[in-house]
Amino acid sequence: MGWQFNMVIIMALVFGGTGWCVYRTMKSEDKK
Amino acid sequence: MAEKKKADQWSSRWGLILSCIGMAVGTGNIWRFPRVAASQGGGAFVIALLIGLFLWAIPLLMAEAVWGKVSRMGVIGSFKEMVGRKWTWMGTVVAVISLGIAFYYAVVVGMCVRYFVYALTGVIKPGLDSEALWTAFYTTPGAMVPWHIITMVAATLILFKGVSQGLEKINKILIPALFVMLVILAIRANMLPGSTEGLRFLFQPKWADLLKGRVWLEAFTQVAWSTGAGWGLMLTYFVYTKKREDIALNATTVCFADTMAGFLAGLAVIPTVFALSPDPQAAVAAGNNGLAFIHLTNLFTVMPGGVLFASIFFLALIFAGFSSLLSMVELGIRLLMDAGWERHKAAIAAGVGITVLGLPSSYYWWFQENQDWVWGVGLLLSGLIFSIASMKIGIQKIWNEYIAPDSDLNAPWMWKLITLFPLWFVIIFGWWIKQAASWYPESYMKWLPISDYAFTVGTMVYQWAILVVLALATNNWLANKSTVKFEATD
Repeated sequence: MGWQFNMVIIMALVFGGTGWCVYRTMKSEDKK
Repeated sequence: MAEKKKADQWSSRWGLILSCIGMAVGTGNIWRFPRVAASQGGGAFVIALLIGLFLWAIPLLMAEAVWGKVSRMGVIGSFKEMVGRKWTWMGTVVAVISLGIAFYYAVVVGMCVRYFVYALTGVIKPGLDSEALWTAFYTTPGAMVPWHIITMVAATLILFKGVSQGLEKINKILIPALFVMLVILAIRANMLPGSTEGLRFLFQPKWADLLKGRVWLEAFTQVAWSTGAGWGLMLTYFVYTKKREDIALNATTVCFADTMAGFLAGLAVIPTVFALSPDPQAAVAAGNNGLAFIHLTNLFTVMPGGVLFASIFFLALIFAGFSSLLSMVELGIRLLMDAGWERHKAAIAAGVGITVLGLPSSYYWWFQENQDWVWGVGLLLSGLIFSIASMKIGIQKIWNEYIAPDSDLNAPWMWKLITLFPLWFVIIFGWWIKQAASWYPESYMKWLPISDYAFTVGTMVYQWAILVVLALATNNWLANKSTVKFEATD
């Protein structure tokens, strides 16, 4: 497992986590 | 019975979220996260930090949001309303720790303004002795004063305009611009020849590091300082929310966005250092000021387009720091408004007060570092106070009555982790005490003169003790003063 794979995993967690929060917020705002 | 008064509030949820992200993302994301991540196992550190968000920052930010939204009062009044009149002193301790940080943080933001001006005026150019420039600026008594005052005047003017017209409007500009600048810096850094070595250093799999206590301690320390959890700042911002506002999701969003800002800064700083520095390890080990104001400043002088990128870097630092400083000044304004002060008068009084009380830190570098040590570690005490107060009110009661009704995230476990905070306090505080004792083996309990004993255990314990005694002594007086609640309109 090289550093590139490691980088992709970490990026997915950080950017994915933030993106998921933003998505959930947008979804709940749409419902209002 | 508290008198109620209508307040200007956040005009949109995104305005609130961006302002809370502005509160959380500070200079520490840009100059501390990259070097600590690089020196503590890179990817392993980020994993430990993400776990730390859930164990520490998210529950604490949720507690703060509950305090602000339910009580509709600033830090001191909120403890009176939430926990009981005789516990008002707890709010005083939290408020003074945050204000103690605000006094020198305004100076730190002023330092970034000075370096931005250096970049714009062409001082950062080939041949510059960046170490001499920094030493002259940092250690000359009074050199930081004008920049501290400029920063505080700007913050006061914005907060003078109120929440929706001042705070929200400026954060809607600062925070998106900050993320755009971090992305530009990261792209530029990774186009430099040799930058791949930096990425390799940052992301080399060192999963065994997850077994090292030091990695976890550094990750938890970063979580404590970086997210603003336990400072009372999120509390202050939630005073101005609409009646229905999602606490759990907003706290989680703020924490992830805060981590993303640090991560982007890491992608910008570490590849730059590895591409251009003759000794990258020394740059990473140089501390916050050393990395930004000496090593990176030096690298900008040899980077193609260095003036432009130095300007962007220091502007990003200013935006990150300034948006956090605004929340600290607003904390002070809110306290005065709870006592019946009108916003304009409260903004001027808080602005002048923080400027004046920040002067010692802007005049003497050792005083600034002492205050950073005393009140930075003091944030652990603030977190402990929120945790104990939450348990006193009832963890399940808070979830059922204040968080769950407006939350899209049905995850009570996230909130209940606040009960573990006393354990983290003992471990992290114990670690810091052990470290500090080793810095002054013979005299770790001494504290005067401060210039000789800036980082002792004694200086921290004595200043904390003075604060707690004063908070207890003024308990009833401050409880009587904090009477004006603000009422959300929808």
